[in-house]
Amino acid sequence: MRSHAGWLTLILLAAGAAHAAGTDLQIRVEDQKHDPVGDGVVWLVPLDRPAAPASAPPTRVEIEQRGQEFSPLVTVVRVGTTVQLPNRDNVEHHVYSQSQAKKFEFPLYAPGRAESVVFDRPGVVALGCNIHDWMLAYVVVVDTPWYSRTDAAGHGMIAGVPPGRYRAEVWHRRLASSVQREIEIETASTPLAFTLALKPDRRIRRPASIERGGYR
Amino acid sequence: MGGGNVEPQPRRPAMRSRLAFATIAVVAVLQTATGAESTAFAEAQWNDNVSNGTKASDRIGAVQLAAAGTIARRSALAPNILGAAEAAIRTVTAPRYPDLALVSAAAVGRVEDKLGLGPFASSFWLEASAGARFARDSNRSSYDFAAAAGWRRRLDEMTTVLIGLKSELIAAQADVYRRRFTTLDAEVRRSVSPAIELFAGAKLFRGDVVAYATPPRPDLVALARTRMPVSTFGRPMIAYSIWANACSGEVGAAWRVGPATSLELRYEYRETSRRPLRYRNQLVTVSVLHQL
Repeated sequence: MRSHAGWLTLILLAAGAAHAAGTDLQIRVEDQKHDPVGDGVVWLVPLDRPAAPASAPPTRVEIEQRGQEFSPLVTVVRVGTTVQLPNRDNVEHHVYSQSQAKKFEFPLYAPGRAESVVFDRPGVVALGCNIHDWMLAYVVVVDTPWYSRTDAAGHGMIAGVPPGRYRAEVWHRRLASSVQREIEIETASTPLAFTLALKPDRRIRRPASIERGGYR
Repeated sequence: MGGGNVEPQPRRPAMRSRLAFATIAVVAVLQTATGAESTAFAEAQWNDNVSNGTKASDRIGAVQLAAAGTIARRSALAPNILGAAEAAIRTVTAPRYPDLALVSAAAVGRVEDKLGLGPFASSFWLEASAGARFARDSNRSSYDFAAAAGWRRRLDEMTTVLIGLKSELIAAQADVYRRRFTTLDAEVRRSVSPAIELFAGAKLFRGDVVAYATPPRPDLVALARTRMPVSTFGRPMIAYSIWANACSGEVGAAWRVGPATSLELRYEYRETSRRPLRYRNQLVTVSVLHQL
């Protein structure tokens, strides 16, 4: 009898832990032609309670400059995260942002050096290089622990989402207008899928000719 | 009226490849040593009238091959103002006409001001350069000086417009090759795919040109500032230095074949005149640039 009670306690504890850990929410993002959309960002804003307190920030979030490009193109961070901007290129860069969520500027800094920025407000921050106009990166700053960036196959996953009502928001650099949807997370949620209307890619291209001189 | 006959010099075909190799080697060593930004460049150009002949019998076409290397060090002089110091080495050869071969070296200083942050801010630049040319035909050896100014603006994500003004002085050993000229040029470049860019431009030129002709040419004698007998093109001709105007139009395409390598094809049509002198040039240029 005592051993049966012990097993029952263990089962209840495990069930409780699973409930507290929440659901792993699978995400799929595609465009109007049903092609997968990579570098999309999906995050969940809880409607029934405030967002969980910030977990310990990742030890290292960085956007590097290499080969006269930023990498990665899209980074998602929680409010308060410090992002390193190392120059691993063989030329100097002048990194800046004019976005409302974070304005900053690092005039020419040399290969081997790194600057850092604390992203302290939610929003989308576009980073550029004032010398190499085609260099572009985005930092999506969210005020929630539940977010994901889609891979090249358009897939993402948000781990440990507690049951409840959420507003799911989507961002992509070519998104014509904001997309959000209210969802209910059960203990076993169905995948969350979005079909986005994307604008043509008008990103500034690296010059096909290699120009001499300064600003390009 | 200028110097005397040009003495034919012994042909040294191996010199060209040695010079090209030396150019690339010097740039590579400097780039490695200093970590500066550098480019290597090779070009083949067909000029249907390299002699600037006004009569059909004096129009001589030639292929010219060039190899160049540049190394540049940039620094911020103030927010949004770049200063750049550049060293450039260039070799030019014409396989059929060795007297056109030369090696040049130049130092370039450049200041560029971008009026604000972002890709759509205009930028202006001022440039000054000084250099020397060491030509196989020593009459063509010179000290060169140039001053340039320019403006650049991106009209939209795909289109960029550039306007430049450049004034040059080539202080050559022989008077006939001493030239002063000013060039005003405008160019529009448009990306049509991630790897391909098309461009079109126009140039206005005013200054000294050197036109070659088989004597007698009293019309050119009347116009020429100075003249000199030459054998550059394998037959006796006279080089005339004439103050003239030119205008040209060009179109081309650039193709990025790798992260640091681009291929460019360019066609230019140029008309040069000073009444009654008139000649035209058509130039087709293929160039490869590689950023080290």
